[in-house]
Amino acid sequence: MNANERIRKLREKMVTTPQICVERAYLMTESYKETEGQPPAIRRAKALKKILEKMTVRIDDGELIVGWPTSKVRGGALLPELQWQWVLDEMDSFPTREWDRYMPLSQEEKEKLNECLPYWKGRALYDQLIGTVPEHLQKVNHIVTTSMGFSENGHHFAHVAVDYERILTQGIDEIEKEVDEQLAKVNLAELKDVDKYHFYHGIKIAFEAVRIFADRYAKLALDMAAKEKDAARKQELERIAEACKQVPAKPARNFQEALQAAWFIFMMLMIEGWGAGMSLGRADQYLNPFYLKDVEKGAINREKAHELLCLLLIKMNAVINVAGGIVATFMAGHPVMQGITVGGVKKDGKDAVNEMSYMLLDAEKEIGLNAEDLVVRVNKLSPESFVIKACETAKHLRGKLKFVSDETTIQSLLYNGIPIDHARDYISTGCHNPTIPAISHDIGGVSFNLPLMIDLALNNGASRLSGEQIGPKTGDPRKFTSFEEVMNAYKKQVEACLQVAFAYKNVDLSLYAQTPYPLQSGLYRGCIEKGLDINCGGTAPYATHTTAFIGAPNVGDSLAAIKKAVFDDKKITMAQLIDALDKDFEGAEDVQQILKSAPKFGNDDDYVDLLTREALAYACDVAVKHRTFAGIKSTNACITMTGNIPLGWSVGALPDGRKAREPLSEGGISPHQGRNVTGPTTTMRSVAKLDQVKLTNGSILNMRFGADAVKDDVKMRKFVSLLRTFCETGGNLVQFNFVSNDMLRAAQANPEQYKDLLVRVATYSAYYVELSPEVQNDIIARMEFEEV
Amino acid sequence: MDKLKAPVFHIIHGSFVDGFGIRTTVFLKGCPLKCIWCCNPEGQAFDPELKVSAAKCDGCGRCVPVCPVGAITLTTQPDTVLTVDRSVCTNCLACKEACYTGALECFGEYYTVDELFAVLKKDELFYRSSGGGVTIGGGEATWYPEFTLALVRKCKENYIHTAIDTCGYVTSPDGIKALEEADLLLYDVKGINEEDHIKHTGVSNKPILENLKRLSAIGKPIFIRVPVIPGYTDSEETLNEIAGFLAQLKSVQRVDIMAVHEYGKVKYEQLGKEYLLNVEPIAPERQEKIKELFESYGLTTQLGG
Repeated sequence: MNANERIRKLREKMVTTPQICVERAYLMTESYKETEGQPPAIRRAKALKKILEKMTVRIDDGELIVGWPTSKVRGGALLPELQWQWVLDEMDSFPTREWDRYMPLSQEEKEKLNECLPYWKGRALYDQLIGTVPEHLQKVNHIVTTSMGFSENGHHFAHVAVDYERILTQGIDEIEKEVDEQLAKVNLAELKDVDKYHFYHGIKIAFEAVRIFADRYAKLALDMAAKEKDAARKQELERIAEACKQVPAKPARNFQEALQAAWFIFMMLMIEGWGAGMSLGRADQYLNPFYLKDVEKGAINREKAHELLCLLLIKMNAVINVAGGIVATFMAGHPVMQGITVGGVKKDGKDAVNEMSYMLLDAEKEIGLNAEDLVVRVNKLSPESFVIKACETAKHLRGKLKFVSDETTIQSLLYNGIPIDHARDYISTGCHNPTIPAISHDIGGVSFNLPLMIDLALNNGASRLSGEQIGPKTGDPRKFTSFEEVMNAYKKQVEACLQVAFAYKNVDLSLYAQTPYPLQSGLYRGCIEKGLDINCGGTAPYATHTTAFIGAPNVGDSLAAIKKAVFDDKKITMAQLIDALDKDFEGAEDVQQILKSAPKFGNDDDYVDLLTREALAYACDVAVKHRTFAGIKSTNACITMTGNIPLGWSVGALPDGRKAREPLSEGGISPHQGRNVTGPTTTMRSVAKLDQVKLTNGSILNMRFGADAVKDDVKMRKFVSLLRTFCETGGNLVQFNFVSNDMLRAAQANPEQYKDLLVRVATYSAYYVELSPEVQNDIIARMEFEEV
Repeated sequence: MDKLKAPVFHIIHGSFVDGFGIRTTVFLKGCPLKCIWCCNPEGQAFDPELKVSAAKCDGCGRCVPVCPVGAITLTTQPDTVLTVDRSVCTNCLACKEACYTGALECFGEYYTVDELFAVLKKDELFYRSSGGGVTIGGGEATWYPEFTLALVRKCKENYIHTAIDTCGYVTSPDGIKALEEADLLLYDVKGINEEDHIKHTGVSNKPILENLKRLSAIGKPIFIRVPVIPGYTDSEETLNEIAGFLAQLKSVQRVDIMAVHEYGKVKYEQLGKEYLLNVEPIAPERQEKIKELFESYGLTTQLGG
């Protein structure tokens, strides 16, 4: 099979409706039944071992990088240890529900689930969460925040930054020696060391499981080779077998083995703690030496290396998250956000772009599916040819690639107390969480409904839509006589509601410590040194917990409209404003129009931008003071995924002119849909003007250009300059869609013809036709910059 | 200088066209030409004008009584139909104040030089990185000669690159000075034959071509814009005449072929004006041919601006 045909065939196979695999859930349950009474670290490790010993292994025709994380093609596993009831409740609706569909389960699969899932009653984390979190806190979930508990999401939110470089260059056998050394130091007479003892043993069992799994693939490849008639394929299979015998236990000896080792570890981490936001780290940095060595030996050429990289990117699409109906609304479009960070600077501050940075972009340009997520670190030292290639790739794929400002991110990590050499080495995990490989990981935390704080501040602490008292009583807004009173009421609501969010989240995290990750923990330095699982603070103090603020632009726009219409221009009174909000502007369209004509965030207008900045910075300052579980740092972000839609359902009419229940502003810090009317530069300046350094865990700006806006080389240079200026003058993260409304409407009308049209939804790309109409329309509503 | 004011009908921040680099383009109202194909008809009159987007009207009726001359008619049965009799409307804009749906708005808002400069300066970071700057267009900006000259000088004092997008029909001394002092000119040439020019644009092309020769003689960098409008400016003869004329000019750096488009059509409706142009778009192959024609005269040519 030639390279083109191999890539085309394997890529095409991935453009398919996701499927659910029941193997992990079934085997996990069997193992847990067998290990009752044993310590959590051991139970988890044994469960992983059981899964890796028993799950389906297969090598498909043409594959060179092997390993399927499920028995399906684009497959998702179930995690009954977190939550199980919803699967039984919803499994019949999977193929037909409005948000994020899956192929139907077979009768046999349903029976297996009916058999194994009820074991988890009272044992699953979610069941314990419901029993532990005080009821009044549970009541505000999905209003103040998106689903706050990991357990509630039904999958993990581990933003992984394991030490790929070490795994590839040393292998896990070498790492295990370090575990053994630590184990030798354990003094069982000390009670606390008993936990360590089990922790280290858990890692050893997990490593053993990894070796067994790789070995199963080695055997399978050899068996297949023995039967293979095609000589070329036979040789390929033998080579696969050799690779699987070597890695990830021992050091990778060549480029193919390096990719195989990375993929094996990636997928086994996924099987252990399935969830969105796992990363392959700085692949250009750790892969390049293997490539150069092979080239020097004459063992590989650029074309062959390109083919292997393409196959790795395709492989990453073998994973989806299975989400319940509610969760799917918060993160629609099967996001997995499997980051590969390219570019940036090295630990010593020098430009890090290398041959592999370009080659990963080339591979992505050819593959461009939804799961693999290239993150391009941009700074003043980045070669223009690299940034142009990245922008051309983004344009070609229409809706992919994240562009991150190194300057802002590194400054932000320093602000967060990370030493400079580590700060320079960050990768992007999850949505966009700057994380330090080998020593740190990130925990997706609370998504906080910031516009609701305006809703509450202007209704004496009660929700305007439901009437429920959610926040403190901050006074009758009709009697506010100054703008400061409005601002103060907002701030009090923020303080109180963040407290609620952290209370909920901390309970969730403390329960979560009962589902340790022995494999993942074994691949971080801090965990081994401390003898502490990653879920118990093993990567503290560098590990981060995010409070992701949703809808800050709505808050700024609302505050500016009140300041202007009520207090500066005196066109309306507070009473008129509140009446209009109560009526959702019905019969008060004149008031709505006055409010709409006030300055809006995204147009480089200080009047509103500085209020947005103040409101957001205040919330950030409150959030970082909160303590989280096990010494993990509280940090901030502006990231929404698609939470702006469901959280919008709970927010009444806002003073920015938005009607009740409509979506909130998208992306994270993107100006509210369609309000940034003055152009791309003003959009970027408004965003960069905020205190981005305080948003240690990133802020997301989405921008959409018509397909022709950057049609030739001269315009591409201008576009790149636009991007670089944003990155080099205080911006944080920006990502682009190059797709016109005409095309999006055509795709709505003829989904079959646009099956692989990718759009940037939030911090991930999704197939447009797989999104619910509500999300599709929210993307159409975003400002489109035409050729101007 | 504070007293100088001009009406601006549009500002585009971060444009990839109309000059080098990333540009912020400001459009001043008022133009001495009335080109049949004009795509910015709101730039023709010199004063702010009422903009009517009838489809946005919800039939609330607040505008009708505030009109001092009774120019507004509103029917709500069976459908909401808002019409403004432009023959009596004085553009007093009282109705705009009463409207909350955006059906009645205004083209044009007055700025002083300092106010406008403050807006343009916001994009300075992008000018600096991309080699861009400010483009002053319209309408015909030089028909606010003192204003435009002051704006050009203010930009230059601040090391911001300036381009003027001009029809070339400039007669005032300060208007000419503005063209001379700007860093770059985007200069329209709509025909060499005077009679045709008068027919298509309402004015003679003599001052336009004379100004162009003079500006070229002093070495001013110039990009020429040639609108190609089927039936008006697209004959081989016309295009050859234009190309032949341009080939003699020393400082023409580039010729931009601007093929006809209908982006301006909706604005005719909003102004209550009749859209007279009725032509088909020019096929890409034909555009390429036209480009080759200009190139055969030794002119650097591109399609679009």
